[in-house]
Amino acid sequence: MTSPSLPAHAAAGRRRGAAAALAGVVLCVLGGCGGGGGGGGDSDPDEALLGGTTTVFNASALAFGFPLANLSAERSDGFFVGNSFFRSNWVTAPSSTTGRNGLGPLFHAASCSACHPSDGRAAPPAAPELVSPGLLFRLSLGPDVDGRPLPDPVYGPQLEPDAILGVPPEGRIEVTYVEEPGTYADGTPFSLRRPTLTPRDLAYGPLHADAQLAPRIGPSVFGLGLLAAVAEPTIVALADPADANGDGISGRVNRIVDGQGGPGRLGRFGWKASQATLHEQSAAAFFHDIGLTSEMFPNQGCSAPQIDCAAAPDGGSPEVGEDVLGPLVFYMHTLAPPGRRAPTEPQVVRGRVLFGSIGCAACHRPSLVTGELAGFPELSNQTIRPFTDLLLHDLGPGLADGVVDREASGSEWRTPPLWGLGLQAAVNGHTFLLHDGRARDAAEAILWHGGEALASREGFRNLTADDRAALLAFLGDL
Amino acid sequence: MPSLRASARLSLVAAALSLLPACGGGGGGPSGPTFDGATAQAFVLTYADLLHAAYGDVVEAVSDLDGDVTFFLGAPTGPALDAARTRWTSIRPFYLQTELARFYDGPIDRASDGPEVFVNAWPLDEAHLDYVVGDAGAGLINDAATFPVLDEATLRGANELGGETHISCGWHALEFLLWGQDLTLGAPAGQRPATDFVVGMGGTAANQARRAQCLATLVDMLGADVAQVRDEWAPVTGDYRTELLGVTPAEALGRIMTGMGTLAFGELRGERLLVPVTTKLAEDEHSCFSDTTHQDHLNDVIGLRNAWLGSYTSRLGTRNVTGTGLLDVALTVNPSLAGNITTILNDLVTLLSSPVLVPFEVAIQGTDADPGRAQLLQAMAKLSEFNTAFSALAQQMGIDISTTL
Repeated sequence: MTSPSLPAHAAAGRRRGAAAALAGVVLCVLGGCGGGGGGGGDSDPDEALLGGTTTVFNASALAFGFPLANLSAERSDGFFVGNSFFRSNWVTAPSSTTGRNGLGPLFHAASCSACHPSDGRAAPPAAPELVSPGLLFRLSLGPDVDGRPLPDPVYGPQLEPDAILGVPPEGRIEVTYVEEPGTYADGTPFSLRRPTLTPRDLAYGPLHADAQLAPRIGPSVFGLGLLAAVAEPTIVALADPADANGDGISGRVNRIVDGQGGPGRLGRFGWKASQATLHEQSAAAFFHDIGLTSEMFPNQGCSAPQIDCAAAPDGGSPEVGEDVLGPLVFYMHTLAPPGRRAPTEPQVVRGRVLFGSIGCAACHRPSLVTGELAGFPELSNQTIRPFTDLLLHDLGPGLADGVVDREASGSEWRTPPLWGLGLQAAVNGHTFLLHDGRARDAAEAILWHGGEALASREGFRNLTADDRAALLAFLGDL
Repeated sequence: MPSLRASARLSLVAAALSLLPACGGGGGGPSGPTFDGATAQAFVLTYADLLHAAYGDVVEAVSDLDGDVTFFLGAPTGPALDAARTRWTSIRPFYLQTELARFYDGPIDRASDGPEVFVNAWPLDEAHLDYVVGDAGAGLINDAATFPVLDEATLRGANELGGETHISCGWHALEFLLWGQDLTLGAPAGQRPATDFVVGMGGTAANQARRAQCLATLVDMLGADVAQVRDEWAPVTGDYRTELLGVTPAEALGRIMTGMGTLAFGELRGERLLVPVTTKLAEDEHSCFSDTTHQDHLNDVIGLRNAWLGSYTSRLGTRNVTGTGLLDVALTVNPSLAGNITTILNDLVTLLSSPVLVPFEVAIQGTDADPGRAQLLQAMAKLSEFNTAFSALAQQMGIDISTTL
């Protein structure tokens, strides 16, 4: 409203305009309109297109919520319907006023969007006494024969801090932090906060003596369809489980065997790559996080001591059918990654070079090519820039939660994508990162890296202040 | 995708790119403006005038509603509540007629300060705001421990807090406070008793004074938010009006047509028709507490037709606008296509005026052969037709709508 805001707005409009025009041209070229492609030369002219021709150029608070740029009007119906299931709250059954019932009885949140706000990343609790819907806690007594985490005999695979009326919630985890000071090589101090987890208000007795807590922040959900479309051989080819090339990096694939023997299916979603498909990931989230049964999870998650839970009415068998899961999974496939804003700005370019030279790009792969994903021509054969290899890496004891999940050890994590990193503040109003939100910004997230990434972490710590700023500027442009 | 947002979520981009369907004649996209520039500039001026008039109508009407609410809260009786409800229903169409001005980062939904999220966010989870059947203690009205004072800052802070449907501001929050939950399929709409606002003897529900304070505050906020937007469209002093008249006609048309195309396809066809037609859930309808959803859909289209024809009929006849429409610009490019779009818009007004769509929550039930659903499916098909024709027009005008995102 004020005149001072106008120039900035106008400038932003120009930047976006230029980027969008670029997308239009690229789309056109790929669409068979002839004319030579992107040229060649030193820099990648498509660098802004993090999601190939699916990329959407929008830097607003809505940046993560758009459909794939190449999704046709004719195919967009599932996106809208899926979005309605993603954003809306589920309510207690029975209910005369809604079709979205069956919440709980025990649950973590009432909607998908509670943990993935605006399709983006959740924040950890703002104070120790608070429960954040975006941070949940899995429970494990250690792996079973297939590597699956063994659930707590009373509390199950996840602590549920909320419940419908008449059912006691399971409890909560208090998160407190200890500051650990450090210094960059140039003497500049920094401080990292290490979380301490304390169970509180446990309603059904103590946790099992062997129970380990695995905190998990709700990550952003755009671009997942493109990750689903990366062909398995492409990912396997990036793996180097025995570090045969001696670079200190041993990417490993996670595998889901389902008790059927054989090599199992490749895991690619979740903080430890323990989910093979978006369909399975979504059904698991419906069940564990919102308390909704489905074909894959037909029984309510109430243990023997949880009598009120078992006696509560349900919202149908199952509570979520394919009429809901189908559009929701389509939505999960068709949220577009955002485009970069200023890939040619000199500081950003320098940061990109440093990102490679200190070794970040060895795991946060700058580019992948998708294969054919059945039913999704939009996602197929795209050159994408998610900055992940979808592989597991040992990040050392500092980040380890000790929880084995399938092939993933207690200190291994799947490389998280970095696309959209620079828009997280605009969309979600915060810059917290890592699996439990302990890092308050990107620099802290880098400094938490250890294990295979220790050399890169030290590379960052040894940079000059100017070079650190350049690297962060590059990340901020993603 | 976020909710008010939700609304916004539209497929800006889907719409925008569908506006560039076939990449045109072997070249790379639109080949430069083909329309008459002077006509376009005259249209942009009319467009600004009609938005200023429509937002002005809304501000004036909300002031009337404020009077009704003040009277009601002074002596909470059934007739006084009915009067406030009637006012809400009668002024709402004028807001809907401004919705074509969304989706291009303009005054209503600019990322930095646009108030849309506080004005028309939906769907609204009732239990975030007030009691619901089965949970008498639900909502921030009944949570004095967390929200000791229900002032403007609190209500804005609670908007979308903890979930995209946790709406505590705007038209639909007011609607819920005036009507309450709609517990029946079909008439009547919500039946909140006036005594929910009676403090002391004879009062129903708890926290009546907090509920009254919430209602009064929300009306004030709505008026202030819309006034802020209106002022940006004011002649001479309106910052955004000045900006829009200062950019090239192609840029201005790009923004305006992005808004219109997005409202028609992503928002109206997608969010407001397709979703409830698919789910058959009353909670997916736009104005579910008052059972007035049908007039929302109709007036979105009337707003589109206003800009197309360059005319606006104001609430009290004091702000009528007659000028140059987008139609006039289109006629300089492709008269036959322009005529098609006029026909489509008129057809949409007819389709969405049908009594079989009232109430909307009933119209979405049954089979696709039933009158309500058949009518809605026709309207959706017509909106797709509009999208195709409007996209073709943009392309032929040489306007790259995607560049305005």
